[in-house]
Amino acid sequence: MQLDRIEAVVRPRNPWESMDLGFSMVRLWWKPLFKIWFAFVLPFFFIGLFLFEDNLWIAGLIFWWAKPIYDRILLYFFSNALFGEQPAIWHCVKGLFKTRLFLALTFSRFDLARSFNLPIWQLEKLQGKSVSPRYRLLQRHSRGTAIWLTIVCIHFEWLLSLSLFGLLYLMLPVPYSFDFFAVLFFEETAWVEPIRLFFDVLVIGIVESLYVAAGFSLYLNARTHLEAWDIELAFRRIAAHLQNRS
Amino acid sequence: MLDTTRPIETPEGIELSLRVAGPIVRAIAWCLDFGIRMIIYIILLFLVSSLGDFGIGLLLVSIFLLEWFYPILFEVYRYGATPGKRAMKIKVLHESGAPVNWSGAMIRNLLRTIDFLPFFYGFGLVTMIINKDFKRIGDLAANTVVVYEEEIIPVKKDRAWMDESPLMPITLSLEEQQAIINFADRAQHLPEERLIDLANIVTPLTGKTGKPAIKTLYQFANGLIG
Repeated sequence: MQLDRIEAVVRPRNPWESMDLGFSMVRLWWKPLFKIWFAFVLPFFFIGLFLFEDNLWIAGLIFWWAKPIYDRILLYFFSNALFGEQPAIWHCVKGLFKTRLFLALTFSRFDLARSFNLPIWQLEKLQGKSVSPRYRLLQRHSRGTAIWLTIVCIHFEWLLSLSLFGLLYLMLPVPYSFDFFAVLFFEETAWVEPIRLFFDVLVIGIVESLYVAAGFSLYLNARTHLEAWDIELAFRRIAAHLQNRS
Repeated sequence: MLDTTRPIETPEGIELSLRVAGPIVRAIAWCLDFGIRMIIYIILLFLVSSLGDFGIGLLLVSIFLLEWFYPILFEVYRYGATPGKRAMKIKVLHESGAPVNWSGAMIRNLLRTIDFLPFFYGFGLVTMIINKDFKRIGDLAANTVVVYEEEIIPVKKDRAWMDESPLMPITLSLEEQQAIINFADRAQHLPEERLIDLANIVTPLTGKTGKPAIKTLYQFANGLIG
């Protein structure tokens, strides 16, 4: 990793503030990011629509359960884009290997600090004895905030998908109006299910990328505090400045 | 460079940057405020329960008043922070960095109704994600921002790192001086190998490597603080 190519201001932030940086990343790179996201996810969406035609909720569940897969692709994108090179989609898919994917899809699926732990596994690629002290050191610094991040993002998710439904409802002309909550929660009409699945894809796309980016920048912030990255960068500038002078 | 600050210029011509606060910390602050209001309503419910219909009317009026004016009053009279915001160490400011005034607080809080649409702050959340300064619609209309309260970490003058303070070989910019002071200040939280790594970067400045370089940097820092 070349720290001097980083495209964000490095300074020790408070944990909440560092997560906001993740939100800024998504805002800045939303175009390449969502290109990759939809290129990867839409084929699965149509396959799911086709395979589980009669019980689309199964497709929704699988789609939700598979979040760790998308996380790895998104993190691969963010970690490269932050250092100035935006990867193509096949590179991102390659980022899936050797990242404890199986563990993440089973035991660690309900780990509440998922987004913060992911960079430790995926980017540091630690092996053997050095893993657990390293892991504990970083955890001690930010685990609490990472858990809050997960809790808040879960709420953002249902809030946004209900908002999309609500928006649809608000836009319907009066003669077609229906009982919003009855349709949303109880009815199994043909048109509601695919729309719900599509809204899930859209909302998970937005929230999951925010979530992964925020976890990633929380991780960067922990390392900035523990390893004084900001001082390293400033010292490099001093050294370069002196070299220029002599 | 990517950052979550908003540059402002004070009337004295000083450049400052506001550290704007994003959706996560604000959502938690909102939940805290909501919880506080709920507790007040429950207490009120017990107090008015003996009054019958009149009591219910009283409760409804107080719900109306609290829902609309709780954030406004706190933001105007408590330095831009409701109790929830205070707990999360954030506050509301005018875009220029001035404290929020009556009109600002009224506009941003009355427009909550729009932010609340279509369901539980859906519009507000989306606007905050899209906007550079994490403004929701109410903030856009009222020209306000929500910022982190400044944590001014004063450099402790009483802590001297070394007694003698040799003069710096060259004059450094303010930012570079700050880096050396930060180094000395944060040194005790860093492992020694890392300190040596860092000190070796500025060998051109200190003319030394390893532990003597760290020592020289402490002396520089000491000299800079005075």
